[in-house]
Amino acid sequence: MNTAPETVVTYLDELDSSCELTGYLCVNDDGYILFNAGKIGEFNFTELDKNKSAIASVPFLEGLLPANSDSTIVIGNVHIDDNNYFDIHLLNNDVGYWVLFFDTALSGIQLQEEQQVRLDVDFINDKRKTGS
Amino acid sequence: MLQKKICMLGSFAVGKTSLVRRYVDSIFSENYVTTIGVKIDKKVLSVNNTDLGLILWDVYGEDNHQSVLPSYLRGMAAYILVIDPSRPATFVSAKKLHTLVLDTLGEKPFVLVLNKSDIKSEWKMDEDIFSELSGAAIATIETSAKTDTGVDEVFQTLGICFTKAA
Repeated sequence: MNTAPETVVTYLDELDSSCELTGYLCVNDDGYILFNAGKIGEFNFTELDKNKSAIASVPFLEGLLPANSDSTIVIGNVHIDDNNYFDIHLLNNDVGYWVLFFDTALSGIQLQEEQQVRLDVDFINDKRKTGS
Repeated sequence: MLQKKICMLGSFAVGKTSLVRRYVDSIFSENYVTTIGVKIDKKVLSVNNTDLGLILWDVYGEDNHQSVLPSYLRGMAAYILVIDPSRPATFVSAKKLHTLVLDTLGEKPFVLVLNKSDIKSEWKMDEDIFSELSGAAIATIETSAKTDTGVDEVFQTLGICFTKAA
């Protein structure tokens, strides 16, 4: 993504994270795609039909657009396939509403394994407390 | 096609993921696999000959170490609030999540789900919280993802709610 729009390049420069950008979308007020590149799982953003709304092409964005918030919204460890974790960053500027996707697969898998151990124990303790 | 974002909310290990897997894939596993972040699925539901796309956000469960962040609720049209009545602490989590929704988005329609009806002999109801949440919900449904009891009814109830409002 060497030819990413200026908004994306600037955001990445200011981002305090080493996660890899794997795709982005920019939509207008009507939800139609202005800029797009990259992919997540089965969704190849580069090939999206600009005559369709972003939500029609990428249904899991339902409710997230337009991303009209004063500050960036981050939704962490989203997955649509097993172990294919990514973060969604929503921001907006004069150009449009931006949706950036960052690969978090490795950290997501590690976090899942750690949480599994912790909650297995918590669940057992919960059940013991109730005597069931 | 009308499309709506639905969040599955509740404490950890109440069966949110099992309910989605049962509804979307018609499968059930006894193994508990914890969810981090959110798993998103889509299912098209037909209500009165109208197709409705449900975008299901299976959000990680509340536990002693983490709370659900408001960003996960963004754009949610309705939610399914899941309790495991065999663990009374899950009533408290459900009430906390209901309050989070009210504080973040205002009132949204929700179905209150009492899951794991296959072990009903182990249920220990928190009647105060149950009464409060049940009174605010559009429906209260007992389910078992294991025996496939009441699962379709939960999503059908939301579908009817949306098509009436459309």
